[in-house]
Amino acid sequence: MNGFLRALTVVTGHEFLDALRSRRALVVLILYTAMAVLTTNSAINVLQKVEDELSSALQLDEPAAAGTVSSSIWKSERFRRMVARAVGEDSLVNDLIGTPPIVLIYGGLAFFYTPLLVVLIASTRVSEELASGSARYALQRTSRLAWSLGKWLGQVALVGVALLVGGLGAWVVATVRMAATDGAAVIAGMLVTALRTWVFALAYVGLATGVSHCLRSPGRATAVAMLGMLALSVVSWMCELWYGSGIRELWHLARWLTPQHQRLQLWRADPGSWIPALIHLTALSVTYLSAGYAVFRRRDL
Amino acid sequence: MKTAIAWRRVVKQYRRLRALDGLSFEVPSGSICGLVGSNGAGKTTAFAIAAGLTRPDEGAVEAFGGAFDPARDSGRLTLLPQDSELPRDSRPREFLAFLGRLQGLSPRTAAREADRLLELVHLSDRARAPARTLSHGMRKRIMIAQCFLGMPEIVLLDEPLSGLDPREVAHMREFLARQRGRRTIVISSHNLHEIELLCDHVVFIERGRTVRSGPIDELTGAQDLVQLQLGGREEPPLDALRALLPAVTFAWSASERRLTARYDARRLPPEQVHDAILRSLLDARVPILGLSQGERLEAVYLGTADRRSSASPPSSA
Repeated sequence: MNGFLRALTVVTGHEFLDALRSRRALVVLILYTAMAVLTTNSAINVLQKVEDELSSALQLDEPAAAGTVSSSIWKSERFRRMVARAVGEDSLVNDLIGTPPIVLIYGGLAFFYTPLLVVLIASTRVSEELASGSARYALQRTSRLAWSLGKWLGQVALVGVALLVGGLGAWVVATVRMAATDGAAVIAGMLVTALRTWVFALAYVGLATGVSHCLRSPGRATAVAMLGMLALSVVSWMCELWYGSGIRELWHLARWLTPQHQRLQLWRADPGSWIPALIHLTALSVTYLSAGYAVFRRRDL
Repeated sequence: MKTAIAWRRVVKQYRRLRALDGLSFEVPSGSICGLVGSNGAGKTTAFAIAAGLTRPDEGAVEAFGGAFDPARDSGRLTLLPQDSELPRDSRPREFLAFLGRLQGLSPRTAAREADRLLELVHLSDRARAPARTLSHGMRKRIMIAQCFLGMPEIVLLDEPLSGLDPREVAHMREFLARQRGRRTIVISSHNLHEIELLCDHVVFIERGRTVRSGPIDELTGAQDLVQLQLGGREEPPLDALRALLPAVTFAWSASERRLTARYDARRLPPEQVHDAILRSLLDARVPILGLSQGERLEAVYLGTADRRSSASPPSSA
């Protein structure tokens, strides 16, 4: 193994373990898992309430557990049309309908919370070391590029663990509370959803780590990364709203700079859709990181 | 003597502050060199540039045949940076092993090195404690330990002994002295007594420039100057001494009770001068409290710094 790859591997492994046991990461991970469990539980409560009312209106026997009625509803044509209207295109509906309800609930939650989790954990990792000067111990022994990439990869791995733990928590709740959660389909669906969310989160890891390379103050780095995350959402929303012909086609280009552009692509089963999304999100992550690295590489430590 | 590391006309400008203004000096291989200067003289910047952490605007620091490259020369030059902390959640053994692996040691060797160094700095019992739970002195010892991972050829230590308790200072001083001849060590310190005890070379820098450098013995005049601290109330027999040693210049400070003798060591062997002076003082029953060769480094430094400040106006760009 050449020197660069060896250093990259060593920094990645160390960053992963060090971040995993940092107090901040631990608190955020626990909060994330708790949120996954509580939100899944709340979603199941709502589902059960709707099913109870539905059963009572139709004068059916009250369902023993949540999910019994909704599994049937899920497969109905009327529900299919409703989802198609919400998503805006028919082709995605089959992929979504084919997904167990609990997996969709977890996926919705994970896509919403993960960018926040990533920004809270990753945005401080480099800036903390710049502020305390501890980066100097490693950087007198390896190149800045290997160190930066290692930091990024370590965070990427950490987010993967967070998603798996959160997914596991959601699955446990679903297994206990929902009738339709038995079988390998659900656990496989959870794993695939965790993977989709992880790919979606890659861009945010790049954003947070890139910002962290530019600022010595961890608090400021978190604030700027949060603003960046918000800005990406706003730009994405504006793109949706104002995209059109002529000069307004520029919004289409701007959309390519936001991770949201690829969110729905990740839900498709067809590899022809999600592989380009994976490549796009990875490229976005590296682009955000590179912008931060460009500042960092010339910085005096 | 072979040069291990050399700063060559290094310039570094931080906005309006010129931290280094053409700094040039060389450190002989295998020596322990002291870097002395007032606050803001440029010592820390000089070290940061040498370790590849800061880029010079002009000039270069040469080691291993060119500018030090952390990736290419990993572990050959190490630095104890000033004002740097350990990562809060790191564990000493793991952290040292991580740095060891970064500089190319195998996992097993890195772990062994970490254990060896923790034993050296008397922290084996805290090997797995989070850094945030260690005292300042303990953390400092780990920071010193990381400099000696593997086989570094050049070690740069910025204020290595500040913050250590007296026992650890003595232990560390002894350890550093043992490194003489095995590796080149450059120590930046405000403690001139420490520099005097440890170093064989010294460099004075002020306002980013070298104002004086050379072997300590040469700078302090250790070869041709002897100072005696006398007790009692009797005056030393100056007339007898001048008659006995006509080639020696004597000076007597009654208030400090210090007798100074200056001579040319190339013509007059120091042993002969010492022997004659001591015999005369003992014959005259003047109590001798101490004898030292050369001036104190502090006096040399202060003399140099005073001359410098009175000769040149402040330089800020």
